[in-house]
Amino acid sequence: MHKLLAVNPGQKMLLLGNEAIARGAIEAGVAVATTYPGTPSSEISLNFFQISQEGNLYFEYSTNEKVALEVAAAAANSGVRSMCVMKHVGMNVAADALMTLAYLGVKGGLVILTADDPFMFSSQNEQDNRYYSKLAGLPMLEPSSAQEAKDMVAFAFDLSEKLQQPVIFRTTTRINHSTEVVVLGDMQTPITKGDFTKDPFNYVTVPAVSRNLHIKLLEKLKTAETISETSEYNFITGDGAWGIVCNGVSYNYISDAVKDLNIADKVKIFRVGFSHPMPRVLIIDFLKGCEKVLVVEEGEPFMEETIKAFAQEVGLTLPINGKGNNLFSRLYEYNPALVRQCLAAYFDVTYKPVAGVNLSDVPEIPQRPPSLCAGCSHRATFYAVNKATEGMETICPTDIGCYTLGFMPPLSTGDFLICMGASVGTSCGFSKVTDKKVISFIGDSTFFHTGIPGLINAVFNNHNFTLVILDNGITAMTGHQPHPGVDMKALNMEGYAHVSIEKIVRAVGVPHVSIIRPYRVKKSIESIKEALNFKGVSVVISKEECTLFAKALKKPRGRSFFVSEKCKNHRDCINELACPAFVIEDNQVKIDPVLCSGCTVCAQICPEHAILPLKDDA
Amino acid sequence: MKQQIVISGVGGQGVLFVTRLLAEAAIMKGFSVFTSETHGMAQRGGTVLSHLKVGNFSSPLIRPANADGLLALKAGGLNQHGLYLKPHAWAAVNRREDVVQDSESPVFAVDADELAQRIHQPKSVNLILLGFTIGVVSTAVENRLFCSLEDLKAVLEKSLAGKKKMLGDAITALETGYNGLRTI
Repeated sequence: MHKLLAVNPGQKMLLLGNEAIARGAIEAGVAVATTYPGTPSSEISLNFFQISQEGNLYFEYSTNEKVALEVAAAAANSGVRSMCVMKHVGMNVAADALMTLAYLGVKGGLVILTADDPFMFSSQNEQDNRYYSKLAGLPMLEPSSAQEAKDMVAFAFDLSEKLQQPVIFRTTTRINHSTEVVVLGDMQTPITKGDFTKDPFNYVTVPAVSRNLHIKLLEKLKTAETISETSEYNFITGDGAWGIVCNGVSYNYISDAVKDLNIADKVKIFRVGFSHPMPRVLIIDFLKGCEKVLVVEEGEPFMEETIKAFAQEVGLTLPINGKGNNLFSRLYEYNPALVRQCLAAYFDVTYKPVAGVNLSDVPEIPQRPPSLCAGCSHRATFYAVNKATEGMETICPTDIGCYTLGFMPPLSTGDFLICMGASVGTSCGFSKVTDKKVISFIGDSTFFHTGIPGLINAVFNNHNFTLVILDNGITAMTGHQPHPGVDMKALNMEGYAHVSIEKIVRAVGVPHVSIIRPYRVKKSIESIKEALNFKGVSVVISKEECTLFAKALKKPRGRSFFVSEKCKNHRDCINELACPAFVIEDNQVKIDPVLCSGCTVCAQICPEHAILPLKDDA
Repeated sequence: MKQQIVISGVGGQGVLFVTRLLAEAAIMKGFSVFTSETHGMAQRGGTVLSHLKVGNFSSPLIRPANADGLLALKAGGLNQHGLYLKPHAWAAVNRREDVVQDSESPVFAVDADELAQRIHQPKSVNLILLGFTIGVVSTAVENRLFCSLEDLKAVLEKSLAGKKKMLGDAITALETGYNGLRTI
């Protein structure tokens, strides 16, 4: 049995924030869950996926976040408790559905989780999705810990049903990826079948209907505000005259800092957990008892600006600050040291950070960014592209996935990256206004996510570029989730069909399509050259299974290779492939047999044919 | 009991596994625990850093100059993450060369890669370094790690129940590190 299905209320379990959230949804009787995987949210849906194999939960990896939200919206409007999980930028994809779903509302509870990523540990931007609650007019909840996250999910479902509105559940990486002991609660039995009653004058959003629905939305928002005023998730501790307003993980940093700085008797803390709509009356009362107020929130001054507006409405003139000189930044993630320092500076408390160990004699070492795995098929494809484009001036738009890492030297196959699917759309623009050869890269999962409309656009508008679809048979970057191109039968998973990338590409009318196996180096280079010579849209599908996934499936792998004495130290292998299995010892290239996956690419490109398979796996 | 430990390594070395193991040991001993980790990069060879806070804390991250100990699964971890150590904290480092110990911060080194080869478990560097921390570091410093070899074995026996081979390998690796210097 999945550990999150343990029916044992009161039991204590060490849970990752994301596991706690999944457990919270199960306790709340969630019956439908949808997602497109994205860090830092991925473990929530991974647990749902596993649980759906044995429980009453319907779970799906949808093709993108917009589709995921639409699936969940329909289920919720049929009265079934549903949850839709995504990373922050996924919300941009789902936004079209979200904005008008807010007008329609829901019948059964719908919780939309957005996992924001301050500092961009694994994202292309650090947008603050709290603004979506304002933009859409939807209630929003923000937990400060794993335990609270679990409990808050159940509250979110109740709130959603009470208001008949979707609820936005906003986390940050530090909540998603911290573990703590969580006390399990009772489980509700999910109601898995719903019904939909026709009511077109409330459900079909033509202008005349939407004009009425917008009125209803504002009424619901008003009700949400009254609930926010009395919510246990908006609470005050302490009764000093120094006010601190904080949310999410910042609350924990503040709690530790106030203790350490010995100012507990001087401060009053307002922890905001129900953060849209903000509890206006409570906040104004709080401000009235303060000399000055510090707002501690990662990201944008979302609460700060609202609080300042509240103060202005009632003529309060006390200092209210958050972002600014010597205070907090809109940039990056906060940490305990920064919070202490700003807190001490703002309230003029003496604070001397302890000096650490003297490391002045320890040399600085270079950063170690992530890289493509040893034997990664993307490296082989990029090598072939570099050979095929030798002497050409190129522009290489790339996309979101493991293969983005190809932008680093020596592969250097990434010049422009915005968001999921943009490799194709931007290729259209670059090829129209420049004379350079445009060759772009997109992964299989990303192609299904948002790559297809761009490709149809390219064919229709007769653009001129080569798109390489890197098909490694799985959504690799986020931890090997399935997508429509995955052969689920081969994974012993029933109830799925298979969608062929090649058939899609041919069906939309791409005039030049080729398929390569990137571990066959020479053939791949030839095929790519042909595609590059074609005037118009050409697509190269590069098919090879993700080497990590193959390992996880315990598929037989090739022998590890070694560098024999024939090596003359040309180092093409290191300089052009940079596979992490290479090491240099005594000025000679060696191959780490544990890391080597036996892809044979380095053996094929070695000018001396010096790289040979090991006889037995030593 | 309050103890803050930083665990540093690169993707694929099992930083998260060691963190989880220590967190489970803390719970078993009745301490409250927070951990905070780098995910996502875990399989792509990038730097992975874990914070483990045992005892009465409210927040998951460790402040610079506040950690009681550092486990560096790669030698460079000491350079990169030594800033978290407070004066007189210890560091257990996987590296080839001996390290000159100074009084301010005892640094203990073990060639865990070599030991891992020797026991034919090249991927057990994480458990070897952990065993070393208990067997060698904890006997030499005052602020010893909050748990013992027996505690960790008990946690492993629970979490790897039914996986006899994995459990046996894990315990061999732990003990190899525990006896660290003496077997070299």
